[in-house]
Amino acid sequence: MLAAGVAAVLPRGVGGLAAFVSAASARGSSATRHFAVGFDSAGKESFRIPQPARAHQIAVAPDRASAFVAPRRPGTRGMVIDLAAGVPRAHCAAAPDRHFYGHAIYSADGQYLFATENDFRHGRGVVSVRDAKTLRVVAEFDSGGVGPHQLAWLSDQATIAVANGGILTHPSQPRKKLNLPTMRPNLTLIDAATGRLLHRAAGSHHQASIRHIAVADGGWVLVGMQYEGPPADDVPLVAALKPAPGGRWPERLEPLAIPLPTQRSLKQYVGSVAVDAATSRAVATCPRANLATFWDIGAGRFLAQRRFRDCCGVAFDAAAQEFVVSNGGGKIMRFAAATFEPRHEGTAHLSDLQWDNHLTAV
Amino acid sequence: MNGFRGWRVGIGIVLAGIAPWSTPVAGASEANQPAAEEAEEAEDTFRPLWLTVLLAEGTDVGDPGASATTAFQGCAKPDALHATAAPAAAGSVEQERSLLFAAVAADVLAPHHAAFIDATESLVEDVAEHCAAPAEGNVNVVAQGWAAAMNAWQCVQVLRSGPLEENNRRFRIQLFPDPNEAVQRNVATLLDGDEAITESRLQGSPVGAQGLPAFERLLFDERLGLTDPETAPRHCALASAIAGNLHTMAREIGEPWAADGAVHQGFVNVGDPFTGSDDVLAVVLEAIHEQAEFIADAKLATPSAQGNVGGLESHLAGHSKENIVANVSALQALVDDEDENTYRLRDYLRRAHAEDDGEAIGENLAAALAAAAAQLTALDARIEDIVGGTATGDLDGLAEVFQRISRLGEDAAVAADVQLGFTHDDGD
Repeated sequence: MLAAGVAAVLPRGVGGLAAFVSAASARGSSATRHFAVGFDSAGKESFRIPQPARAHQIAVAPDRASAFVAPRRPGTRGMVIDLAAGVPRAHCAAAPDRHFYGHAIYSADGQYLFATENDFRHGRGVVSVRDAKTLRVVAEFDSGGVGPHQLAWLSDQATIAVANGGILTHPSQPRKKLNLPTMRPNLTLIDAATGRLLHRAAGSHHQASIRHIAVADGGWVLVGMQYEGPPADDVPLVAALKPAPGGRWPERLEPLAIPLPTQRSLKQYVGSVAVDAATSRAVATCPRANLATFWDIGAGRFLAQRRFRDCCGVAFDAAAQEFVVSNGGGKIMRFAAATFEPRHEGTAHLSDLQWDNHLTAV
Repeated sequence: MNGFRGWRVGIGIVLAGIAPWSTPVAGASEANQPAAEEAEEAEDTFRPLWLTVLLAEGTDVGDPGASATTAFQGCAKPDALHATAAPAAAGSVEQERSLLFAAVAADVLAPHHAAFIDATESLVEDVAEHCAAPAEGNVNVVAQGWAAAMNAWQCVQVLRSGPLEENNRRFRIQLFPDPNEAVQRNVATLLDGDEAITESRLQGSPVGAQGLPAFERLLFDERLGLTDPETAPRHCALASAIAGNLHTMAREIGEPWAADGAVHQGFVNVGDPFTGSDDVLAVVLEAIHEQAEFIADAKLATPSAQGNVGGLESHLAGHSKENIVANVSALQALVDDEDENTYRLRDYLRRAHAEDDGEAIGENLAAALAAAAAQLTALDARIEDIVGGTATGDLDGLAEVFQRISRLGEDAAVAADVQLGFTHDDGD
């Protein structure tokens, strides 16, 4: 169905490209103004593009010239922006009886845009496939579960991993969760060319909603979750899906151990995850706990935690070998990938903004 | 004792206000029938267990149908308030923050935590005294001890940072909301079991059995009893374990906030575990923003909208209003103090952020808290009765005041350029 190929790739910074992009909102109790914002490696703002509503994640096209701003659930309008000019280029609307779930990815050749959506008439999670130029839907397939959220390419660039959170929602009750006692989250692997479900891995707990994923070179999928059960339950919130020797995928996510005091401080919520694909070192941000947690997912080990108030967005900066973390206060902190120590010279602050939950390296 | 004044006044709950619920009037003794009849006129069907006991003993308890009233005089204060020698002219933002942090730590956070330690220690003693001879003991003293501990906890719970948020202590002290009735189930499981109930065993038990709501159930669930000779031994063992567990946690939470404690020092001097003065200030602001929202939603709006008396915070004891009164006292202690020599959030906003409407925000915040306190005072029925439909009162209006307080807390954060939590929402 989809053509293969990779578009020409510009080095970062050439042509005035921002180094990172994130959704953001103006500060203030009304907080009605929302933006897609780009900034450079020093944290200096490159552009600020108004959005019709609060956005969630920004997917960068492989050519780094444009990006898709995915609206926050239950938003229905997405926008393509020009990363060099810092202007909007195109808009699209979700189909009737659909809304976006906040995340999207481009195909490796940049021709297609995949987004998680809610078929709320049927309570079905879907992945829409759009022509990246026209933004017209050219295909759609089941996400393999309810409430799909983030999606990511496996390293083969042909298989999409989809985090099906398991939480049923309907835009008539925009933030209400309708099925918490019976929810069944899963992680699905889908052939992007055909939409065929290749594998479905059950969650580590039926009320641990699988929300965010990142992929390491070994094909391992790091998973960040939020727990919807009783607040004092000790349920792991970080897990991995690792192919066994021979490539066979396990039936269930493998929860990663974390010191109990840290586990109990997380307030049942991981906001975002990022991986240094080459080393399998990873970050899971926990905004309710004001913590960034550091992991070696190859070894399945928790490594460290660092306090950073309301931190959530996270991306790996390969050139600097740093994890870049944003918070709801408009701050950017850099943490050395090797030591996890904060690098204060990389700190930046756009004090009139609140960074949204996800940060993307351009 | 920790040298703080006022903590013990919190225990003076007028007994008629402790409990609404559930021993049928028919359970009153014939010897005291006139008093029972008077009570029946005032309160249609139900009577608290302790009231039945008192009536049986011929004690004058006043009008049992009266609304819950309390002698609670506010969260604890130190014997001498921290004297803040603020210069006439405002200093830098960091200087003003230093003044705020020192005063709040000394005048608010340390005494509130110390009072919780003391109240739980007293509860341990009250249980021990009663349970030494349960049949002759005075369960009302234990009930007063519980109420005092609950009030002290309500003064502490407004914080959203520090050791309270570690090791599930918040939920172990008080599992609320409890939509799945875990407290009832967890208490029943322990009481129905054969194993000895000890504090250490309790600490390994589900959180619903560990804290103040479990103790409330032991006191006020008519199916349980701390005085019945048959049940008292095991019930007393659980009461003793809960009280001991509460005291242990109160110390774990409170000692780091004492003047020489690590968290107190980090708060005042902007050091570990805090990452900067923004981080410290956010502790104060999120206490206002989040606690006010929690009161509006969990303590008022949700149970009210559902007509669910069982969803109220301390419905068995009829203490839900008193809990909110204590919350307001704690928030007022952070925001303003009538003593002009003290320094509170309102002073900080006026002096450090005048250009960002800080003075108006501080005034509005103080006024909104005063309005909440006044509305609570004016509420002449128990919240349990209002939600249960046997009395009237404007809980929606009260919830709106707390929503306003929450928004003002956010406005204060904007004025002070401090972040409270934008990325926390479920489903993101």
